[in-house]
Amino acid sequence: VTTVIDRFERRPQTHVLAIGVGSYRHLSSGEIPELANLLGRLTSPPRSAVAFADWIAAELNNPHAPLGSLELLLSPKQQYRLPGGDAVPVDEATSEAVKPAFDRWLERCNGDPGNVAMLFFSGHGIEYGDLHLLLDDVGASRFRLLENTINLTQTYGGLKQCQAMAQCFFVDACREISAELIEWRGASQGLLDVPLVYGNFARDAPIYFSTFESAQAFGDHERPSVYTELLLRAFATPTTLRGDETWAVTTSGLQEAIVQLFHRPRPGAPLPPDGQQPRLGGHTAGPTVLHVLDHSPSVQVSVACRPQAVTPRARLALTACDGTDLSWQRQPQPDTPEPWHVEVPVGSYDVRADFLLDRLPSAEKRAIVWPPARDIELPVDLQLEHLTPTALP
Amino acid sequence: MTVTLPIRMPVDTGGAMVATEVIQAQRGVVARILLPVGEPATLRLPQGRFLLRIRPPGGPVSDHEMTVDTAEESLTVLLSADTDRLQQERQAALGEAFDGAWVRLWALEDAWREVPLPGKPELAEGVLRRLRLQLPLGRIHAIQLGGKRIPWRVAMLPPAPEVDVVITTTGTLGFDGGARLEARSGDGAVEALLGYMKSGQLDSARVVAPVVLEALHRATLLGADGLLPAVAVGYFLLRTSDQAGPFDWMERLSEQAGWLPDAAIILASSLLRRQPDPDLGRARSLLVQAAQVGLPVYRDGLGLAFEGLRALASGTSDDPRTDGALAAVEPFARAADWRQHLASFRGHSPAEPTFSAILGVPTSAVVTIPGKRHVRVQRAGAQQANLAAAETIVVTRRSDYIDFSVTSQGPSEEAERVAEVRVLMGGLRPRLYQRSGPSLSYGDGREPVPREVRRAMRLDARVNDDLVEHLETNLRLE
Repeated sequence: VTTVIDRFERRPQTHVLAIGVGSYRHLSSGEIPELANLLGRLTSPPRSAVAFADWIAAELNNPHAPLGSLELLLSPKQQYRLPGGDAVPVDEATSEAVKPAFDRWLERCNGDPGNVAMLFFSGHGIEYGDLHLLLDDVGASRFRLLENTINLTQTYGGLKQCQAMAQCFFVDACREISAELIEWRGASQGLLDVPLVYGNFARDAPIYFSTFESAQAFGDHERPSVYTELLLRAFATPTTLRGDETWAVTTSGLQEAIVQLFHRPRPGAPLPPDGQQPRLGGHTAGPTVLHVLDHSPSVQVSVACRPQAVTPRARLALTACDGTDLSWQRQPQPDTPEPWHVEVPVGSYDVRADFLLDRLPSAEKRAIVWPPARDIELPVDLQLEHLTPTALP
Repeated sequence: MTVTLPIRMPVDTGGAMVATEVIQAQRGVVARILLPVGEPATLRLPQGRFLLRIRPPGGPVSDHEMTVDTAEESLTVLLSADTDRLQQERQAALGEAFDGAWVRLWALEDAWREVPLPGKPELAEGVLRRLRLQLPLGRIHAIQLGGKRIPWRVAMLPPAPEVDVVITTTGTLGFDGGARLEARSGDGAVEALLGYMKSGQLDSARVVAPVVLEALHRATLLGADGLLPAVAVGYFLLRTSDQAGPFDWMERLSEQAGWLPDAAIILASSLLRRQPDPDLGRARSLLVQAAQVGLPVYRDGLGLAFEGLRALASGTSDDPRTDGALAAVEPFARAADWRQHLASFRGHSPAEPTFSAILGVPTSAVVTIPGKRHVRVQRAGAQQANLAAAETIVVTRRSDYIDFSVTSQGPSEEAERVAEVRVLMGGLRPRLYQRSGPSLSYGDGREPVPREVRRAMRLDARVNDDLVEHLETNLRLE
């Protein structure tokens, strides 16, 4: 099974194809040395694809194009449990399984110009002019090493023939150039024919790459990748407030949020690796609405004192200024040098630092909290008499 | 009163402009504006509290709170770029990457030629950091950077009378060898637009685009003032389809800036996208013309030319002009560094893109063996055809290896298609690493030969006089 959700109707809908490849049956066996030396098995991509599918199934809300279908392929073979539903076995992401799943997805996407098509891929990628996404059975023949790959560049070009005006591609894969593998680049094919010149040039078709050209993308062992977590955070914090008081994620706003959040990792999460930086490719004619929240999103706020050294000794508080009496507080934490991270709704807040055990003066300011993230710094007016051994750590 | 707002810029960008959102807690984004860096700017805002969210291209966002106490008060802000701290941190970690770094300036005349650097390079802590170049319009220029640890690479330069080249560290060794090369014109709005397009921040790009478009419309002729805005807006519109072209100014751009391949590529791409009747014939002519002129300055141009020619070449039975143009563009597209907004690639020179990394310092001690007249080309499965008169072999001595380029031009298309070439060097086997031509095959030195092709090979060996003498004696084609 690859179709895990099918709510197809003849009206604008969102149709999703998600692929996560980790097992790579021919890579680790050593039967194809040219590949085995370069690429190994991965544990993160299927987790990433599942995380993306979970979010799509449980959270995606687009009144203009509600979820119509979800095709999911995972390697190694495993069961997928829909949020709140039963577990179903899903097909492995081999070339044989991906092609019919892609065809079904394309048929649905092609049904209405108002459709939103989403293609998510997580796994190995190699870029040399074209970007090749490696499927589970890549390297089945040592004479056609890139036979079971998706030539994303050609596939993207081919989707000009798709009527869906919004087409989003999420590519969570390395884009390194492989000197060894370019010799076989002719074997990689797109998933559909490329219309020569004619086609849907007006489509809003961004490609959200996890990293820039010729660079690597990273994933932690047995958990979704850095990029997938970043992408889902960006989806969860819409940045566009619309006239009807709803909040929207748009095709262009999504990349702005990704760029902003990339510089602010989630509290406790590792810093983004050197050499990885999300990039936008493709043709973007939008902005097209992808996801809508009918309530204010939670914003990741970081509060710190200046100088940073006094932050652990401060009692920090945020109080909403809208009369709701909402407030958040952190007691002094001498062993925690990091800023205070808290998630609060959009709005205006009084932010305050008090030093109950020290002779330091309090500090306060008013701050507007706006998605996707906000850093707030409270300048503490340190005078000479404050600089005693007990006052500073 | 002027409020100074510190922001962090990813690179040292004098004269830059940044897109800024003015946000109110209850109303959301109430304005999107463009602010200069390093110069005071006056904002007129109603009474209230505001969040200024400043978005440098590709860099971290800077948030600043503002309070306007009286209605219609004007507020003067000064964005102060803090690039030094960032650079110093990286410089400390990777300063040694610049040991032995060098730059060369190239100009495209009838062919690419190295030209003297106008002006004196600026050094910081003994390291080359900045070049301010004054360049004549009407000719394409390229800058080349390399070093002992920095792979040689070439970046096209903006078509502007003044270009600022900045060399910084990237923070990691990686693909660039730790060195970043940025070249900017003095037009802050144009550079901001290109920077946002590079990082994919199209909402921010949409803040800048009207400013650049206005500058374009103000320019009466497509001279220095209008050329850059036209090229930047052209690529922006092709990326976003915010407005459907082609436009009159694209025609004028193509007519008046025939020396700049980007001009023809922008018009051609717009003609290809014209609905419902794309003008394939004219687009093809323009793309072929662009390829004959040279390499586009911007990476979007390189991508559009490659994409357009590939589509046109696969859509027609046999068109030598299109095939030839595609063959000329493809090696650059394959070698391109798509992270940059200027067309950039690893290469020996602007005419020689390479896939592999070349390290070292260019040497004038180049060994050339011209015209080995006794070479022969053997036709596959047929009798031998002596094409010796059309063959030339050039051997270039590099620091740690030797490059061979073999240019072959057959008497007829049929002969060229079936010819096979084997390079023999007295027992030494070179590695074929690159060639021009629409298809690629590697292996033991055998390959089909297109009509006109220059094959490049490399012998990875420590170069010494004995080896050169050995090659002079034994090098031949069979």
